Amino acid sequence: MNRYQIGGVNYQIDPAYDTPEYRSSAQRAPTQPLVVAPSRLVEVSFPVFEESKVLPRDADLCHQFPQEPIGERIRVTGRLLGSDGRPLVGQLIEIWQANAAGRYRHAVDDHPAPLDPNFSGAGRVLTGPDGGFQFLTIKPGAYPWRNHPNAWRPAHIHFSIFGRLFTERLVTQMFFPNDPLLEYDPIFNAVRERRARERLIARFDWDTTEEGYALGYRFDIVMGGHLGSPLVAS
Amino acid sequence: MLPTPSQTVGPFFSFGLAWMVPQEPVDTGFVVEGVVVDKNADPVGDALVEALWVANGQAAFARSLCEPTGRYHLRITASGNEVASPILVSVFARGLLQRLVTAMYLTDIGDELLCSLDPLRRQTLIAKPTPTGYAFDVILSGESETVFLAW
Ligand SMILES: [Fe+2]
Repeated sequence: MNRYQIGGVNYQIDPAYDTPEYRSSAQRAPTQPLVVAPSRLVEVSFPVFEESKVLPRDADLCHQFPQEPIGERIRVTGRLLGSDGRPLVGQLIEIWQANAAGRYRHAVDDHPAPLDPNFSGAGRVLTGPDGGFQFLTIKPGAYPWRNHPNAWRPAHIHFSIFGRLFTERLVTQMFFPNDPLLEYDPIFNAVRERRARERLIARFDWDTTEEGYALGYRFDIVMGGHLGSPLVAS
Repeated sequence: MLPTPSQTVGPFFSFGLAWMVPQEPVDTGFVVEGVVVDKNADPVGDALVEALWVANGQAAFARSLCEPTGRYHLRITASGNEVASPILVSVFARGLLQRLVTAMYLTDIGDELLCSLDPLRRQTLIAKPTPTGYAFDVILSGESETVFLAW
């Protein structure tokens, strides 16, 4: 488990592998304590990403097909920062999400909600000189899952970020403010520290809300686990 | 600043993450393949496996999406002699709220990490040679669980 220290206070940032409320963790969570690796072994830089592999249109999930997807158009804007607050430039961010009806374009998703022929739900972007990124997409729907009776995931967008070093690699989820399902979601609530949990909730933002076109949400991402950060394993 | 916490990759990532998996066969280097299994030795058919290695001072990266049989397949684009041990491996899956990280050694070089492990657990980090490269199974949980790393 990674913990984070600010002013001598320990914050448990990441959720525990073994989280009984999240049922499938029981078969997959390790049972042995993690072994602390010598730092030179894991502090390996990721290769520089080939920028030509990501095109500006990859960040626009509303215009990947001849027609537009159905749903509430949103602009998700954020900055990717190191835990020292410095912007991380030229970093690859990948996202994937359900459509407005809460259905994924995935063979295993059997939620009886319609697929949208004009929505893939997948996007990617490279962060700019100020660590900034922006996606245009539609707001994903909530969807049911089998974790417990009448279980519903709150609306969310999945994010994958590499970081500079192997230790920074992060896969996370972005949630929406004031979603009544958040309170009941075992995945979101597996993050025990309230302040860390709040990092996962985007903020509604007038500045990026475009009149007559799209609602704006801000989602800043802060990477932990880099060289010299006060992360300690336990 | 407080870092953003990890969340599970979930079961439905393939359509978002498969684009980085090479579509055409690559001839250079060697293959690392194996299965990811859970506590009951059942295959984990929805895991994401990534490798980061250094060869001739250059970092390189590969990604694989497990088949329903739990099998993954990574092309390491360098020769076994050129690759510095260990290759770093991340496993993401539904049920894992954070990735699991392990280290794959092509040979038992008896370094600081390996020497700190008891002999049985140490074996979980050593890949086995195959005609096309190496085999490396990842056992997420249970008696013969793979050694996973923190820092
Ligand atoms: Fe999801």
